[in-house]
Amino acid sequence: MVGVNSGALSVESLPKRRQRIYNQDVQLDAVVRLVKERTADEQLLCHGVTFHLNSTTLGRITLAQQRGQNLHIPWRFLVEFWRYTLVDHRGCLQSALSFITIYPLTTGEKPLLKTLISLDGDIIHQVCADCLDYPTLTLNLSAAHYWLIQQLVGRLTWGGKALVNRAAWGVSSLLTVGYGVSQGIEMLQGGWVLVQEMAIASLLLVTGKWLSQGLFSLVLPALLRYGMQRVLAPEAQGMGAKLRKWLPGWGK
Amino acid sequence: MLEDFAQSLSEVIIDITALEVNTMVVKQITGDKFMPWDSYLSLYSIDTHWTARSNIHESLQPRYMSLRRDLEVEYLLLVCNPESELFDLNIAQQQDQLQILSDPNALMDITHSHLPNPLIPHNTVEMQKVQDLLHNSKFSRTLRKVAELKAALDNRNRTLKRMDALSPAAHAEALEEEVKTDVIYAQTIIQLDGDIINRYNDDLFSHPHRDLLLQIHKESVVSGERQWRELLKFIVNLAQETFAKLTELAQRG
Repeated sequence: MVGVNSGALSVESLPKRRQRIYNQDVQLDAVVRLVKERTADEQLLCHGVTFHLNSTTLGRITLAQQRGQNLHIPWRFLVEFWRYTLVDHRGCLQSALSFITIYPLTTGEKPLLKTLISLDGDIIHQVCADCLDYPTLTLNLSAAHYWLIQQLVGRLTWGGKALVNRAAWGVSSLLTVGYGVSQGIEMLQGGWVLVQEMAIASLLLVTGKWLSQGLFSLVLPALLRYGMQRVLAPEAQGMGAKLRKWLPGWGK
Repeated sequence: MLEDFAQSLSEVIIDITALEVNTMVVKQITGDKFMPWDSYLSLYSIDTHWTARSNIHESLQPRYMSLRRDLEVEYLLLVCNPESELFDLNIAQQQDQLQILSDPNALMDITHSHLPNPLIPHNTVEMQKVQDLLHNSKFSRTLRKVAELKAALDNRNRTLKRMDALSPAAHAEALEEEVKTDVIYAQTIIQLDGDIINRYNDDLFSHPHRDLLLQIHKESVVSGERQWRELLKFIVNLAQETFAKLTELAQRG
């Protein structure tokens, strides 16, 4: 059984060249997918996350676990995952997160593991009976399945992570400015509270280069979440709706 | 919108009493689509006079009723809670009609069920009640879990019905092999006060892959705890910031 920490090597004890490799995130973009469906009325439903593994990618994950590497998560995926974690297609708080691992056991790909995590603390873990005949593979797949979930869920909180900087800057600016434009008329009609908020938010973002790293890490996640939350509102119109359309896998 | 969001987040946090990890072995992992309306409709239809009963294997009928009861109980607890948005004084005061909360064998049909009826689409009042219920985050979470267990039960039902059609000898052999799926084999509950409760299905101890299942469950608990903690951190963090924002808005307003 290869655990996330059990087999991790000490990076400091390695030569510098190898340290660089170990510090790199492992690229498995095609492995981790969001299951989406567009309905007849142009609604985009997100049904969960699937991990499409094979012997090669399973080996890479096992190695990444041993090396203590992280999973590379493209920012577009992260934004979609962020939204999936928070709200469903109706704009309601998400009832549970679903993760399925798919693997070619004998003939063709087959879902072998499933984890359903409810926000109130109930977890249902399902194992397909077919894979029990391959104990070592089952344990390796389980370890990879849990590691991938941990990598995704662990990235939700953002704070203090290197990921915050580039991706969050782009998304945050886009969302803040986008929402500001979409609400422009409302602002002009007297929504002064909103004007103040958006002006402060935009100022913080535009002048971000001069902000200290500490202030940045404190302020940006809050702004990002607030901006995203407002744009996520199903009733958001105008630019908000266009923005949701433009962003990958977004809204109606 | 922001208030609703904050309310939903706070409900999640209040609702957290323990971490519960269930490990199941299933014949087939079902599709990943959760449609609240469809799930509610299929679960609502299960009652004492359930017309689909003939298609359900006799051994599973009590388990289907138990799932339906879970949903009914969840709804009654919500409508009897003065702090819930679904609070209904009329139902809360009818103590004699709340028998289901204390009696697992209480009648559960259209006259005894309090759940809004989704089978009368022309009744706009009832339809609105269903919509309100499906938008309640606490009820949605319960519905999602019950729907997941029903999907496993449906799989098991199909297997058992298929076996019933076999000859007696083939049936006994197939039963031996197939009956070991679609059940929860192990459950671990970690309460907030630190108590840990482990429950195991009797069949686990005679299962040919007993040690493997126990190992998988152990890993599932360790990982589940870590993943849920991250999720909780995210939610609490978000709730704090949302409330801070609301307070700030209130002070300005």
